[in-house]
Amino acid sequence: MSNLITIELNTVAYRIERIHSIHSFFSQYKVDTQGCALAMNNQIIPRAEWQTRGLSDGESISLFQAIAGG
Amino acid sequence: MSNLLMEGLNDQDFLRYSRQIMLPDIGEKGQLSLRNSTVLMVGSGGLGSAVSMYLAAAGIGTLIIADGDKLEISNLQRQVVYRKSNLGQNKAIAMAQQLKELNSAVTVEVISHRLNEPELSRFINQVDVVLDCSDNLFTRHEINAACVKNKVPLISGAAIGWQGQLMMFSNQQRGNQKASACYHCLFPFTESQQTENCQSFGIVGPVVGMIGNLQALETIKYLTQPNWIKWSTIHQFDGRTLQWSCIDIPKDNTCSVCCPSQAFHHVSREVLQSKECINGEFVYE
Repeated sequence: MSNLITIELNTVAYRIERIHSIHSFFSQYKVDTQGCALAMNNQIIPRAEWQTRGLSDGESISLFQAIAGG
Repeated sequence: MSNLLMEGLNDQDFLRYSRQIMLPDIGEKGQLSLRNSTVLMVGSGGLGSAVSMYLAAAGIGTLIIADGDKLEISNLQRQVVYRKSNLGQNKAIAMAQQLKELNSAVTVEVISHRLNEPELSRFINQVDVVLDCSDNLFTRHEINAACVKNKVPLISGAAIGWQGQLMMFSNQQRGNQKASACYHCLFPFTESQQTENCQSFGIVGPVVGMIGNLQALETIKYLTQPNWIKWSTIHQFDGRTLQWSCIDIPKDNTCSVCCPSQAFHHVSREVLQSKECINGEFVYE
């Protein structure tokens, strides 16, 4: 079985190692998450869970900014 | 303040609000609920323009508006409640004047300065629902904390560029445990280099109007058909593609604002004394 999986971050596909957590994936690919919330399967993943939440083949991550304007 | 429960609707009320009273889900009972309700709206910019006009037109009982800014010419592109003649005036005061033209039956109270704690909690403690129409994260978190503390629902809107966000937080507890998420569960930070506001990133008028309209819609729903509201959600709108996404917000058990270990400070209900009365309106300067 391949150790590589395909995931999407904001509709861009990444081929990554299966072992990644959300946090380690962001670290390795230097994704700037400042000011952002993260959703998977239409549900927010609290930041406290980014270290432990693993990634599976075919999953999509939506990373979006807090908007302040009004 | 606004809790004077009035008699039933008169003939003029039935005429004026007939197109919403005829909806079985609103009816006379819903119209009276609107009239007996008090809403606090923090921020009277693009979101607040849409919110305030629709709530005033719908016959909300009392609308409390807080904004310490003066109207600038760059506001007129999207803050559609104002007229050119309002330039230089305090926005909350100018908005109140426009709303009274729209519907003089609505009690409009004005806070013509930046609303901070502890005053914020004193106002929040006496309203049915809070609408965050502000333009910065610091204020958004302060409003959230006060709503959590006072267990008052928060309907939060935000917009920048072509993007909009609508967020719904009930802030109600089930037993001793807070059942729902809060704004801080979603965005647990107060500062960000990428914190976007209209001054630095621009904003398309109808996008902010769209989110404001939906804040007004959700407020009317909450006050007439509260079971219809889907709390703990963020709806995101992309004005370029017209696409919406709806995302559930689970409660963050590590949230420093709403986690169960957090002590809720009880704020007693206080009667606020108006400092000044202008044109029949209460103004807190």
